[in-house]
Amino acid sequence: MLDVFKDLDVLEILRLGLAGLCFLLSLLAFFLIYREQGREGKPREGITRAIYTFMAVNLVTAVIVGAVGLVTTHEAKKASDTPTEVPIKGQLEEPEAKQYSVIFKGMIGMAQIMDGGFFEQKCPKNVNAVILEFGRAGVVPEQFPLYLDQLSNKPLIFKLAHSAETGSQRVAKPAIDSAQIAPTNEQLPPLQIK
Amino acid sequence: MRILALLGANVGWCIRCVGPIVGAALLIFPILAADSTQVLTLSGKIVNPSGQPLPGCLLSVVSSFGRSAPTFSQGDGSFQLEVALPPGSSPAASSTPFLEVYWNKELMYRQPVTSLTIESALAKFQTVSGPTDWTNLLHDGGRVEVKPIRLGR
Repeated sequence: MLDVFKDLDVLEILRLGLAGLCFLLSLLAFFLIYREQGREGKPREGITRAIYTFMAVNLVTAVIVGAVGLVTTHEAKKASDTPTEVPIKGQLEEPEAKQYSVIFKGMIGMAQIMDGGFFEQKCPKNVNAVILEFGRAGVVPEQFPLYLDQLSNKPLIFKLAHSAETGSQRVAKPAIDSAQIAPTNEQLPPLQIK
Repeated sequence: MRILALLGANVGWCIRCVGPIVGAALLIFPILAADSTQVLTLSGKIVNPSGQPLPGCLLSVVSSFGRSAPTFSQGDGSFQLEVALPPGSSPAASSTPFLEVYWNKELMYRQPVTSLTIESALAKFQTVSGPTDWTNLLHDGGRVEVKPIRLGR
């Protein structure tokens, strides 16, 4: 056996993946040719053909490995370049907009108190649609479906239907009953509002 | 005959080698499935002491495990919340989940979910004869409608 094969760390080469396997196969092809050449007399035709076939298969494998590697790298770069989140910016046109909260349904649920009627929330890009629900205590909440692929950089303007109506009534706040607020010893996560 | 004998020997080898792996997988998968997160759908109604529905209240179920996505009570005071339950949870084993009701930013109501009176319920793994209580619901998930919650005094 050749010296090069004696100290060959096959496991370390295989750790490189398919590229390492291709290298090993090429080395084996070389070894087969070397063995055939080492024999006395004319090389056997059948064996040589088998070696050629073996080499051709190795070549095809190498091409596939190379192509897959290129595509994978390209896709990974493309994925890292594209943003994973899309911002939802909006404004509620309502005289008492500061009193309203908005809930983003269809993504990780959260409520947001709007800053002067404005709100902004980042939404994962793999979400197709979100339902925005605007509400304030004592008033019937209103929903707006939103398709994320139709979003632009401009903030969206929302108008509530009830504000156009006359005589829409607001239910009065009941008096707080402190007995209804149970104390807790645990640290509870806050309602995600700002 | 020789081919058949060879094939028989290979089949025997396959069963000996693959059998334990398949058996282990069949045992592990139900355990993993049973330990996954369950969801409890909680619905009900928010009313004031005189029984008038209260729309626009912000509701959420909270425990040290986390907080459910908040929801508003609708025009008739009704609400529906989806609560993810921690794996293997029971009222005794994990922290108590609380239902919180906010009037805008102000906390008006916080009571353990288990203190709410069940109107109707269907646990995920409901047996026909067995009763449905909070222990089942908080462990297995399912659907529960509670009696109207009177807010304030």
